[in-house]
Amino acid sequence: MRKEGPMILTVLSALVVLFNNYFFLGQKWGLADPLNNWFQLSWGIALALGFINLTSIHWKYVQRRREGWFYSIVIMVCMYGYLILGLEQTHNGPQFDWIYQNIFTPLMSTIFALVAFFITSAAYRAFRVRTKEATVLLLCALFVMLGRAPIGDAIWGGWSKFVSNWLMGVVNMAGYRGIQLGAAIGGFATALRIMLGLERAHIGGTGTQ
Amino acid sequence: MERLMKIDRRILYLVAVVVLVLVLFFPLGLPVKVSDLTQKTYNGIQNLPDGSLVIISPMYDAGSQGELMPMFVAMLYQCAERHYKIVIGNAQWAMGPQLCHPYVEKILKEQYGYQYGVDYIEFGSKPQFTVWANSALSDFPGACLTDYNNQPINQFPIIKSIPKISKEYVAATLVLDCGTPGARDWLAYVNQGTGIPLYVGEIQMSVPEMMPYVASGQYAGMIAGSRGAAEYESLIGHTGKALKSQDVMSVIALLVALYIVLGNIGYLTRKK
Repeated sequence: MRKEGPMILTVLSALVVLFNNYFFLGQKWGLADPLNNWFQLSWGIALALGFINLTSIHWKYVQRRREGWFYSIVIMVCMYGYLILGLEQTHNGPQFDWIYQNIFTPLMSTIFALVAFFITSAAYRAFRVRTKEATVLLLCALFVMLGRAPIGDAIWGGWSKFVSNWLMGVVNMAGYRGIQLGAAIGGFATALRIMLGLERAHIGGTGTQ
Repeated sequence: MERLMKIDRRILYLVAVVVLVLVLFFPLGLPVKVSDLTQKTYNGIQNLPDGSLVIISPMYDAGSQGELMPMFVAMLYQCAERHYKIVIGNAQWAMGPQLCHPYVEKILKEQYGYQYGVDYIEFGSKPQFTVWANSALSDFPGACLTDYNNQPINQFPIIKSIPKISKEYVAATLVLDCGTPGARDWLAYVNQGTGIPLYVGEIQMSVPEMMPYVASGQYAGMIAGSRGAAEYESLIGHTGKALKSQDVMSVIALLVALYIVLGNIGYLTRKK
């Protein structure tokens, strides 16, 4: 029953949601409403589980004096300190909001700002015209990149915009349509396999049947 | 020439930083021409009926606010100029409403005299988009329960204008998207079924995969990346961060192109 139980739950939940979404009676009866509430609760529980897991991992690092264990202490102090502050003040509290706006937000923005430098370095090291296909890809990338910035208009007039728009609106779109159609069909097939119990990886099985 | 392939990356970073700083102090002032897509998006929102109610959903976090916040601000200015009723909030992106809140207060309340709860409301961030969206389609106040300040949402007069998300009550949804859940989820769960037009502000990285939705008309309009945000700011007549950053964008694009060319010159002239 260890594997059959979760599978039965998965199938029943999927059937309820399907019936609720695709049939008028399902929507009228509101069959999926309790499921929706339980889903929200499970999300909150998962968050708490993440907290406990992080604490467990980093506490072990501190106990064993693993390399960088000081940063584990920093993580836990920040994590629990901010949690207690949030519980005391809610998100509108002055100190909570100050930390959020002036420390957390700039830190997150900084991490993403660093990507710009990685891209410049990666462009220099990785974009090589090794094959004809790579050359075509490179030229397209250059046109789209410069076409999206005002400098493209300044250098080539309307041509950069025209080429950039054509590449994005025709070539790229055709490719992405194919990819998204394939992904949607693949996702549907996987969902069907999970509902029929053929796919067991999500309940700790050995994969597919 | 082969040395061109082996330039220390610290030099590349240094050149990038120096160029960036120089442009900030000595802007190029390059003109930003408005694209058809941005113009279409602007016209679509501008031509909504008087007194319309719009939902603006900032589905992003601090990492993407560089590109999306100027779009949010521009949309806010446009909606305020047209005196639309505005409902702001999202699901599953807890940072979005908190990042936007100072701008909402400054623009709507202070500059345009909007009254909270009457002309606009912020419902904050709710957990689980699919669950929230399914509920909001039949009972918006029930799906939200509380506003941004944790007050019962039913007490505000504006909520009576939106008993549920449907075309009857909502003129348009403006979604600023940087991941999942995002504009595609709004389309799948809300806009496709209700017929409410969906206008999207998208980060440049995701623009290529959103183009099919624009071409098919499922997105009524799209502001594409930082360049789109700059075009939008020029349309509404408000010079914001996006317009100011276009010179930097231009210079960085040119620098990356130069690096690619240098690297390839070194590669092609190397001794085999």
